[in-house]
Amino acid sequence: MTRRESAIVTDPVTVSQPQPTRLVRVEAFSADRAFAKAFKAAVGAAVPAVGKVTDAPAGPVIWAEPKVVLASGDAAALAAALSDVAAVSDVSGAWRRIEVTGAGWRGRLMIDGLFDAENPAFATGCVAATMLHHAPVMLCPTGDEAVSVYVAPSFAEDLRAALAR
Amino acid sequence: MSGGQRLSTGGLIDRSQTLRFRFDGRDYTGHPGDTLASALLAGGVRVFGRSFKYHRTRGLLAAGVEEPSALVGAGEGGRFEPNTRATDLFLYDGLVAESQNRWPSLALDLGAVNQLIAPFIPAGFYYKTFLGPPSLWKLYEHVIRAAAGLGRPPHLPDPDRYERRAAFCDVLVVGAGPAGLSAALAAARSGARVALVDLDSQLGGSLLGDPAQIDGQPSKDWIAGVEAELRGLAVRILTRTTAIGYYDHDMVHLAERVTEPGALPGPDGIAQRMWRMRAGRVILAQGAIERPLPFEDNDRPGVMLSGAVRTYLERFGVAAGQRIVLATSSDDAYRTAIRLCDAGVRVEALLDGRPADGIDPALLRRARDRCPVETGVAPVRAVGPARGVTGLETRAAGGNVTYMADVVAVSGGLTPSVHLHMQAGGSLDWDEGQGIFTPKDPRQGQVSVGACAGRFRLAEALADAWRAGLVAAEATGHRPVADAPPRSEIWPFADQASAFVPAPGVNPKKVFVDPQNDVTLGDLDLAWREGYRSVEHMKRYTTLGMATDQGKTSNLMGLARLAQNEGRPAPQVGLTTFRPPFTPTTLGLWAGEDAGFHVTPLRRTPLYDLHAALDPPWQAVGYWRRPRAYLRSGETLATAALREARMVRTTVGITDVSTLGKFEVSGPDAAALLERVCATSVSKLAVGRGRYTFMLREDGLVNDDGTVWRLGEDRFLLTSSTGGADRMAGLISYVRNVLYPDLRVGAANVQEHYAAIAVAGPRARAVIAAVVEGMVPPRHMSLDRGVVAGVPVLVIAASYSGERAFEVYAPSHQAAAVWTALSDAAQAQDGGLYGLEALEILRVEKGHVETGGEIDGRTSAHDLRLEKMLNPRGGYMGQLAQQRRAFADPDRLQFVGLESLGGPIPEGSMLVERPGFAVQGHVTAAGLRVLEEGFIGLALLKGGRARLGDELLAWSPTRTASARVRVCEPHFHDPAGERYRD
Repeated sequence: MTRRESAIVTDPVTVSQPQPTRLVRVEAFSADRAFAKAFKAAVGAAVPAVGKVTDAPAGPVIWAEPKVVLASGDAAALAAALSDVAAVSDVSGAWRRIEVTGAGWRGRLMIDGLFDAENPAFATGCVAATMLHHAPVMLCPTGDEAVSVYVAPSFAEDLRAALAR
Repeated sequence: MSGGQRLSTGGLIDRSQTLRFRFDGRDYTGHPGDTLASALLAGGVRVFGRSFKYHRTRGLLAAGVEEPSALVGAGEGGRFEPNTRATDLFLYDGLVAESQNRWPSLALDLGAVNQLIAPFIPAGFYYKTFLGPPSLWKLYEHVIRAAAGLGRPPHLPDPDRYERRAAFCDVLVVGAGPAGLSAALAAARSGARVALVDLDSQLGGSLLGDPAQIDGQPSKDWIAGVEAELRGLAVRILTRTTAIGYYDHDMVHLAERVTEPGALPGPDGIAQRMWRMRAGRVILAQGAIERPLPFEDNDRPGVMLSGAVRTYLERFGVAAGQRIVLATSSDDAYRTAIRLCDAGVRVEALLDGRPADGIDPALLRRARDRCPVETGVAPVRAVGPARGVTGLETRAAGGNVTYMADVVAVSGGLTPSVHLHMQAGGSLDWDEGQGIFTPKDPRQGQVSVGACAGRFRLAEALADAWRAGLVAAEATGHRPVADAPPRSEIWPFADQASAFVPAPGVNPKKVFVDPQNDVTLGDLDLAWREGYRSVEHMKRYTTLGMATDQGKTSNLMGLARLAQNEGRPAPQVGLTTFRPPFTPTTLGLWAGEDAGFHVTPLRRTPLYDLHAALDPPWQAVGYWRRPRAYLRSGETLATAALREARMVRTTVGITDVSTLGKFEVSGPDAAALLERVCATSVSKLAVGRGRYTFMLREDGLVNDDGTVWRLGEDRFLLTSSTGGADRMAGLISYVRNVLYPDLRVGAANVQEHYAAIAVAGPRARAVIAAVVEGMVPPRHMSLDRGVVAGVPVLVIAASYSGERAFEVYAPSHQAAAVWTALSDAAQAQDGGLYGLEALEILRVEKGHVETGGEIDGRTSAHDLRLEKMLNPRGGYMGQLAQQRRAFADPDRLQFVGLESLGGPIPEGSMLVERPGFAVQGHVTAAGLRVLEEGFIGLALLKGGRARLGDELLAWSPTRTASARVRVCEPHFHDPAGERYRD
């Protein structure tokens, strides 16, 4: 007996090249009703709940940390619209997005990871900030067989290589 | 002839296939399902290795991971794995294994000469022997190193992969014996997310070597049915997986052997996998380990644990010997005797140390129907030569009797495996009658069931574990099922008596407690006489319970001996600490993927590929890699760095500074936040202007430094050092979210949003003017926005080099075009690229402090000559702490410059009057003058600011280098800052 039946589902996955992603960081001065109202008017989507992602016309809106979301759109326009309720910074250069597609994406994210990506409750509409192969990442499932992995540019190439192994 | 032999029937091996393997150069065969131990035993092998200290011959004691003696090296080349237990290595075709701790061969071992000098090398002899002049240590060291260590390491790189994987579950069940299976079934049927792990290659645990009837069927069929049901319930079942460590918050490390030691992995190349399992509840069903009995020469090959003899028979179809005598103090050995007799193996006698009235008559009857049984009989001495026992001398009321046998099967009772329970912080109860510790209170989410909880009766273990499974499921949010637990045949005989004391007259120096480390009862007595009363001290003095087996079969007897000598109960003497790992693990498993290229993550700047194309020597800066210099043909690193520094002083250079920390702070209270973060004033900064700044910790010491720029009325850019970037992110978040959560401000970490390129030198202004469309280069400490190569950029005029300089910020994904344009423009001005080495030379000459150098976590603003820049209005972090008395100590280490009176100043050297005199400070950085002759340095010197002109010695005895230096102001280049002006 040299090799046992693996206890791990090894469905194949495809790992994309890291892609720049246009994101704007919105930090509410106070997570109050005024901010929620102004945000919805400016972005076209509600402020996502903790650990959630909502869809807006310009792209996903990602909960990042208390009082902070990452939205898609034009930073200057958002800054102007939200100046009374939030600080807005263009962070488009600060993130790369790696798409992991295939039925095995959950298992792949468990390798050298810390987060329970195998939990079926972690599905489209969720976001998790965690570490993967020593890199800080945000994980956003985008379908039954796809997840977007957001990572800082400096870690992106190493992470892509590790995910593709 | 003596030794083991394969029976014609029986066992769980696949007799239809034959596997070939080699041990110590000889060819053997076995079957799938065999361990190396069972196959060798079936092949008549009795001696498996040599002991560590006296090189005594060693055979098999056990059949599982507790085996202390039968250690082998498995595999070849880079896959060679030493110290593998033959009992924990499942056979595969082509296996190559060798015995260890012998030279030149197992049969003829020169190390065995130690047995002749054994009286002179008792426990702790090395603490008394290797004394004397330190110079003699050089002699001892070679001898000790040659003799020390168990096994030999592989000499070639390991070609295989090791994976690290996270996993989560509601209920983790450790051990897939009857109790573990019962618990897993209860939890899984209740809907919990269950993981079941076992170190064996198949489920069943003790049932594999000790079959029984469960739910009206043979245990083999019951196991198969349970396994099928568990798989159907999506239970994660991991075999060959050992729970090696139980850490905080119910994190359990699981070591999975994907392939057997030395075997070729599958296509993915993975040999082993480390699971980091986070569980809601943990059910420990690790079983129990049998203890040997104390008698003279009880380490001889052929002295085996009774349960092991039964396992070899039932699981592997191997009779351990042809004439077997059993010595016991527990009921468990009766099962072995009965099974052996039923299988046709000759049992000379079953010798029970307990009196007849302490044994269930029904049990005695069952055994006496099959073989001779004597009670009140204690083993005295194993009889026979080094290659194996030929008999057992015993003592009873009527005198000494010797029973002839080639295997002496012993049972001193079962010891519950409480290792993980203890690692999880649990406490223990002591059962004096049985001589066992059992789990008491848990500290985390663990519960022990079955034999590891001291419940040795099968029916009781099944029911107990079932209840635990239901409770664990309920605790993790699931409704327990109402099903009944599995039921087994009733075997009521599971009594045992502690048997830690040898028969009167037995020589304790010949009674082995720890056969792996050759620790005898005499050694334990010696340690006690010499004052080692703590069990932890005794362990370290005698080496009891050290090395690969960690005392699984020996610790309790050692503890009992200490308690006996102390005249105190065992619980008062205490136990040694149970530390991970439960079984030895390879270093590769711990390293996981972090080997070779992946030993650390590599952080690339946005311009990394452009640098890499020039193949520079790299400098590791944390996880970052930055070019040290851009060498030209024939240049060394030193000459290239000096050329680049001179280029910056005379024309222009550009360098990648993208790794700097950068934070965008915006909102109506942006200035207010920064005035709390920075120790300098910020609010009066005009839009478009910037300034040098630094930040303090709450204890008043300098944390980091950088620059702050006012981008708009309510928007600032704060930069910090590369090494301090993460620390600054934490500090800003702390001030913003904890200290002043009501400020109307946002603080974005834009370190990676912006690439940053420094342009420095007398012609830097010309480069900026040429490259940035329509821009008049901003004056020093001013900023402007522009476009380079179609990319919007922010240009700030700041200098680290001491020359007129700019930093150009561009979104990281667009930075390459900006770098190329700036590089071309610099070359047109007779300039070029410069790296970290030149950067350091320039900053030393300019006298800038650096985080990690002069800002070392111990220096104050005053120490660093920055006190005049402190915000006079106060209100910043660390302000009050600066009033502490220690900050006014005139002998504090203070920032100074050093001029060499001779050659180069050794970096990191100490500052002294003369060699051997008190250390007065140290050199934080050293270099040379860029355009003039001479060597210079920066230092932290006691009371340095008042010692300008003093002469000292910069002395580095470890590098045998020194230089006479004169203390001076730390600014060697343009101290008035005239070169910043256009």
